[in-house]
Amino acid sequence: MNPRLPRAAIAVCLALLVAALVGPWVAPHGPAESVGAPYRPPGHGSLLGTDHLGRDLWSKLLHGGRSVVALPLAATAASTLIGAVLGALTASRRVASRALQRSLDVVVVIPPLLVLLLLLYGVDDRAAALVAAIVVVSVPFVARFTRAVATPVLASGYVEQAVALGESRAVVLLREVAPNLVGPVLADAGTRFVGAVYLAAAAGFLGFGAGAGDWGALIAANIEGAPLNPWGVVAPCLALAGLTASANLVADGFARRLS
Amino acid sequence: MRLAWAAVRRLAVAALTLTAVSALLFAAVELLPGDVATHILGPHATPERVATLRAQLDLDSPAPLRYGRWLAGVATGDLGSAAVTGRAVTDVIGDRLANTAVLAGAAFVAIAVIAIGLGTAAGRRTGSPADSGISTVTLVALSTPEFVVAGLLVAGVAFGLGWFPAVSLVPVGTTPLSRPAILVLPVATLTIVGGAFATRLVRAVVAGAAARPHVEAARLAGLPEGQVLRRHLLPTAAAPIAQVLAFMVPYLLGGAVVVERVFSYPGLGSLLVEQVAARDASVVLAIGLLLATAVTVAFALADAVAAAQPARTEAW
Repeated sequence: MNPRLPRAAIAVCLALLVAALVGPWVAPHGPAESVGAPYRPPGHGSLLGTDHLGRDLWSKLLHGGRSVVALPLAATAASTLIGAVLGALTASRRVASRALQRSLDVVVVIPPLLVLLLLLYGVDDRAAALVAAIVVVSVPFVARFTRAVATPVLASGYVEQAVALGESRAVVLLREVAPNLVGPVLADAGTRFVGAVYLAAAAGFLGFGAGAGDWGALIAANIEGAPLNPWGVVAPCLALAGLTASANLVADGFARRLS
Repeated sequence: MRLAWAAVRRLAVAALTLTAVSALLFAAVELLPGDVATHILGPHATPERVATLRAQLDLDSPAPLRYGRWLAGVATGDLGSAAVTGRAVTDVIGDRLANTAVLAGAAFVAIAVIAIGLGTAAGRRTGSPADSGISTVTLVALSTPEFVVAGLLVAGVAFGLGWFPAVSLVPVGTTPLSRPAILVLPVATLTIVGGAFATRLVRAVVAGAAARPHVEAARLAGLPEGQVLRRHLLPTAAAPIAQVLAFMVPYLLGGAVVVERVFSYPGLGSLLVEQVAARDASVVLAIGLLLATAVTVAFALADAVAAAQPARTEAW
């Protein structure tokens, strides 16, 4: 892979993350404010034209990123923490390891979107439900990944030595094993984040989103008007694709550097 | 004998897994707020009417009992009837399943061709320009959500160029095959995202096979590249590639949920979204179990392919 690519990917990824998080504060118009006729093409003072209700698309774009970025960030942090602890613990215990594998088998055969739909429908606090759904779907994968990385570390000489010296399990895991897991687990978290953004935006697209008018919902709302103002579809598509693709390139570059 | 025992064990584990899945799904549908009776009658229904309908639909029995009855029904092939229309669930699902199968089947063929072609081109010499290019492009493509790919295709190809329809409605009583043009964009969407994913997996398999001594020996012996691929590299990689393709089946069935919504295609995925909104537990459970079964079968097939592969001794 082109070695300069990860640096460009880091720049794009950071720019989109920041834009999504600060967007609502810098948007020129409110998310519900009508500025003209629906589906007007760019021009007349609006950078990307108007959406299906005549609202400024550029402002909608700036308002619609926060929920598809902030919630997945929170969910990824939570599932990485829970999954890594579970994985490290099960790596050292055979019975627990088998139990983890079995529960994973159950989760992986349920399509993530089904979990999402079931948890989101009819719930009042969609943001919390979305985070919960992402955590439920990702924890088993983080745990399995961590276990796979931790198992060879646990079998290595210096860990055996620490155990032989009479160190407690918790101390060995924390002091000897954990530092070796941080890099790979962070690279895996990048991949999980991409999956989380996917689920958050898909929820929005299907009409179950946490933030009204997030990027996924914008695509769904503006697809019929694409012949009049294609930016209603193209702009949120590019924002989402730019975010997920750059995040995945960064995670991939990071994982390559480790190996 | 050992193989037969392994197969029996695998089946038992699969059956247990699916039973656990069914219990989880049943509990999830059960615990969610709102029920189908209030959904059918609307927000202004009198409590008496709601109570009558609940009794008719057998919503008043304890949940474990209803789960037991439902599970017993599933075992005999009876999936119950849809609460709203009263039609047998198997009928409701049947047509939609056929439509999804057409979509997923066409995408599967396209994915297989692309993944084997590009994956081999990238993996046969790791680090080559072809490898870097294909690896980067596929990573970008697989990161992009299906509805984003679909949205761009609709805006560019359907509306911009006007080549294919933007919606893929199938009139009642016809099959999608009678109007193949409506299938092009949904299949293209699934193929771009799924094909990118499969290509990367095939690339890894081929790269592993290319590093084996007998392939290296064949190259050093000066055999033409085509022969190296056909006689030495691909036979080694065949079983893992078959595994990769088996893994695409659950992706296609699950990914179809969103793609079908984009194009208003009447398949299993759009039915699932409709029925979750309508709170119809029997249909949601049936679709969920069907998808989970497809995934389980695909994984079991992938395992079987791996197990049936005779242990290869290094040929030189």
